[in-house]
Amino acid sequence: MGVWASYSLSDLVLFSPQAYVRLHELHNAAIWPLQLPALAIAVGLLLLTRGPWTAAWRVLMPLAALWGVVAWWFFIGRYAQINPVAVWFGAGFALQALLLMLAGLRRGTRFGLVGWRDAPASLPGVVLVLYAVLLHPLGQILSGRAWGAAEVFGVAPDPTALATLGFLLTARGRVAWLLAVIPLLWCLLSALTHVGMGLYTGVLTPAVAALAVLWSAVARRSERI
Amino acid sequence: MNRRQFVSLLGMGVGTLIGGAAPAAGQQAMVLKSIPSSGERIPAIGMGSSVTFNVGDDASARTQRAELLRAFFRLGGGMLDSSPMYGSSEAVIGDGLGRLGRPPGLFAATKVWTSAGEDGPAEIEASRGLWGVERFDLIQVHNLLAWEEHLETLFEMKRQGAVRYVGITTSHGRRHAELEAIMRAWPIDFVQATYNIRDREVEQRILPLAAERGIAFIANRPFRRGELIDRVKRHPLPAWAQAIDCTDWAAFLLKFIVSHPAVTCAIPATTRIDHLTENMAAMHGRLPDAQTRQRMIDHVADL
Repeated sequence: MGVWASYSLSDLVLFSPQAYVRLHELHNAAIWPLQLPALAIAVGLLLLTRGPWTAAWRVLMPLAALWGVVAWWFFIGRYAQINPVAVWFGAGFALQALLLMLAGLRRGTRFGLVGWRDAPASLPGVVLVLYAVLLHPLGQILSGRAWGAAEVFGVAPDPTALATLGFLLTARGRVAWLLAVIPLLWCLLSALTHVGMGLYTGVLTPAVAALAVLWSAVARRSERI
Repeated sequence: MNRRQFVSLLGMGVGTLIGGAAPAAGQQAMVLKSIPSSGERIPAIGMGSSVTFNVGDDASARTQRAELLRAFFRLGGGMLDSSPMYGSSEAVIGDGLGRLGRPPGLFAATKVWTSAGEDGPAEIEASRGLWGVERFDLIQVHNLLAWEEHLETLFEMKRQGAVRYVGITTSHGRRHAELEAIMRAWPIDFVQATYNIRDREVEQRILPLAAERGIAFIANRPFRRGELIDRVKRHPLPAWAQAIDCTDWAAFLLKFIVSHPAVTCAIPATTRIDHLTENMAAMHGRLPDAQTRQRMIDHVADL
């Protein structure tokens, strides 16, 4: 333990920010045009959760498929080339895919905004989904990344985890909180990786997620459903 | 280290050798250093590969790294240091070496990095396959991980001629007491640890012990992973650096390291050929004496 405590984050991240960005660029090119159906899924799910309530499987099954895509093609097929630990990250994403599927088969969880006045706790979820799908990649492009290297929902882990959290915030039922554990953990791990590379903007991912969860938790107190 | 200790180390015959082939007119001889256990002389500046060669399957980055290697050997480089810990670095190095047709100046150095001693031979064989070399010149136990079991494997390999030298590594001042104990108890050829103008803990015990025991010393993190050189580059190089034939900060920082009599090789890492050229320039011209080394320390401390 004493020895591990002497390591800094940069000692444990053994690839450069350039290699990491290039990884996304190569991944996007290899997986194209999967980004388009992934975007269509995001739009479709947002429409579904507009209300009234929709069954959990309709939201959770497509999300499970996308977590599986990220686990296999991004982590195992791509990221593991430069980071041996990525295999374990991939296993975590595969587990989340399985949990989403199982939760989708279970009765009792409902997704939906219902209406701003009745379910104000769902609004942060929608804001988080929009951030993940639009602002996350747009921010990267505006800060100098090539279009082709932007991290996209359903293909890259960060926006997939953030958007999943967003959709879960529109759900009611205890299982939604359990499903939020792995996405939240990933946001934290992603931030640590970015900081290890010297990319301090990476802390935005868990910060935005935490804000949305907090906002939703507070809003839940005033819900009338 | 004070001046008396420095001169004493020089007297022990582990000092710098300026040599190699006789230089052509207008060319300066290259700084070579002796490996104490064999007397073999190697270029004092090598190259590390942590982070910089970990580019995965990126074809354009691999081509660029192959060109970097080409420049490294053209400029007189020898020791190339890697580890299975560095992701795809060994595969990328092997790819580059293959394109260059296995340059004759290569001094292939890698590490064994696995927590189970019994997994060591398979990992070493996998590394050999990735590099595409017949055998490694040097295999080191990475960060003292399962060092006892791995050293037994490595000494057996050395006995069989499957590796030329055996070593052990650490970085950032970790576990120096344990490192020292191994240096005293085992007949290792190389020890690798962090040494630069700001991180000089090894001057107290490790470097004198290396000289005493006839162990070659590899200095890793000579630029503190870029942080040190980025910081000093904000300031002008002092005019007196010309007296030791330094025209840039990279040579200044590297000459400080390799001018220590017990240091055999420094292994800066870079992805840029212009930076590599600056690094390799440290192998030419005059090296600082003990007095100048102290002046260098004081100057950088004030920046």
